[in-house]
Amino acid sequence: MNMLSAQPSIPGINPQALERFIETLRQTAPQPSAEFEQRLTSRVMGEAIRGRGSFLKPLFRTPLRAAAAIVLTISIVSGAVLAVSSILRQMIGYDAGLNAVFNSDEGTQLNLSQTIGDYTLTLEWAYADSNRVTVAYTLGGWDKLPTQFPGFQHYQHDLELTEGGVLVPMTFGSTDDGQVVTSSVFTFNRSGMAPPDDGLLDLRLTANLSGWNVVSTAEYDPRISNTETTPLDVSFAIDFTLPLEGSVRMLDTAQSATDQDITLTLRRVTVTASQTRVVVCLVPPDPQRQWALIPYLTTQGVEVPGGGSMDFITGVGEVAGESCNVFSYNAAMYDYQGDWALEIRELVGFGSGGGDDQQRIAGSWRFDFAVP
Amino acid sequence: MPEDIEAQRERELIQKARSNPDAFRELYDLYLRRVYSYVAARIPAQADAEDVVATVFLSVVKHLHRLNNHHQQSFAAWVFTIARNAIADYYRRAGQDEDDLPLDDDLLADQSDLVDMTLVTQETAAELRSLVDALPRRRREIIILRYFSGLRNHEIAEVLHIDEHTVASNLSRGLRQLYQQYTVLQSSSAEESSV
Repeated sequence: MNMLSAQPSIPGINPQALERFIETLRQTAPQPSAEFEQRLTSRVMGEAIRGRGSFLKPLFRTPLRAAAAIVLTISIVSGAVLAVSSILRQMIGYDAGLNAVFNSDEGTQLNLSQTIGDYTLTLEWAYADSNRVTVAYTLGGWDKLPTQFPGFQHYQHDLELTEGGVLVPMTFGSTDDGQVVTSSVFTFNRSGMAPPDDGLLDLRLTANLSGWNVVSTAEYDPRISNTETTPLDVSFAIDFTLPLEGSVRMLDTAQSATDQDITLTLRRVTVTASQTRVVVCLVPPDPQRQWALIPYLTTQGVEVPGGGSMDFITGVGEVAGESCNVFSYNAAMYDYQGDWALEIRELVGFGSGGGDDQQRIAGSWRFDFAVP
Repeated sequence: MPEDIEAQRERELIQKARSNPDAFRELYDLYLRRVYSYVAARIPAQADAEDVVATVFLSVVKHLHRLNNHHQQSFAAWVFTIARNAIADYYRRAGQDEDDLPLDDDLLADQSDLVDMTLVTQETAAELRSLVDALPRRRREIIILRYFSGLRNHEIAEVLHIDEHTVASNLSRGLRQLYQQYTVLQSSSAEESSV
């Protein structure tokens, strides 16, 4: 079987010599032993004959909703034919990691639509790597809201993405065109989850619409509004499959830095095509408080973009008594091969008394590392 | 065989393979050695490589029905994506990084026993493999997919989720680097022999 595209020509190298070299290179490919081939063939063919995977499953699964008539429109096109809407493209561009992924054609243009009554949810684009899953979608029809639900000022929607279980939402950005369509980009946490055997994620996107309006203002402060939210009995569900970009670079370490008699430990760094996650742990100086760390992450002196997101995390190799922060940077750092530097400049301990109940400890805890 | 006829034939074979074991066997025979070459080039320990290859084909059997044209994904790209993920899983479970493994001459020697000896001596095979192993990760993977496993550029692009220009550029640079390094090695060997 001729399996090759045209051979590259390389300036300065005689084509015949290159061809001979390529053939030599090809001949060095490892080959299976006859014994292994025979053993594996028996096993694989045994499975095939027993009928595993020998039937087709439906491509899309559409749930029936008793409360509404559903019209499902599927428009499956290649990325070269239909582009993501300009507003969504702009919103994707605000995220440096997603922007790089989009520009490299590493996401998937889906253009899956579902219409319920006057409302249409269109899942335009999605991307998944080992750190996060992102969906970019539009929701149209809110101009119908005032006539259908007098008094309602706007609708809102809650969104859920499931892959087996529900994925935890991370970031959400939404805007509307002032007339008909709301455009949203929603990111969900996928870190620590096992990749699927075949590299394809089975996902379900659900969205439920609610209307809200202002019902009163507070007597003591007219700037404060009380709103009322009412479910609209419009529930979307779109099932889709998405390839997982499974490449991940990971550093598991226990590098420590001490300042102010407080020791911080860098535990894990995970770098995917669209996001870098850094985990730092500490034994809390005051265990009655929950401690957030203020990071400054750089590569060759330049701050890594897309930061600002922090969460608490467990199960990252921490020792007893440690609490851990994970910082997410929405940046395309996968191809970066140089050194990193993380400096924690402040610790903020939040007490139970609310936002003003803080203890702040300034210092410098520095970590220099490389990610394999 | 022209590429379009070959691709058409493969599509027909895949369709049949979903319900016909003989057709599946034909498909399996087309891909076994290609997948093995890829996996064994990335996992030097032969027994471990064999385990991973087995995992890949058992996954193919299990999930063949899910392969569709929704993402315009070729069969080759699909199979090698499964292989790639299986390799990543192997290193994750082993708590090792592929790039940290020492270039074990004994392991390379084990594998070069299984190389096609028509054109290549054991020494040449070991030398070339060492040069390939020393390439940057992405470039190394592209070279392996292209020249050990016979994937086309657009299939490599699908597996690695990069564009074809990046594949072509890495191939060109990787080949140049390998060719130049190999030529120097060959010249040094020739000089030593003549002394």
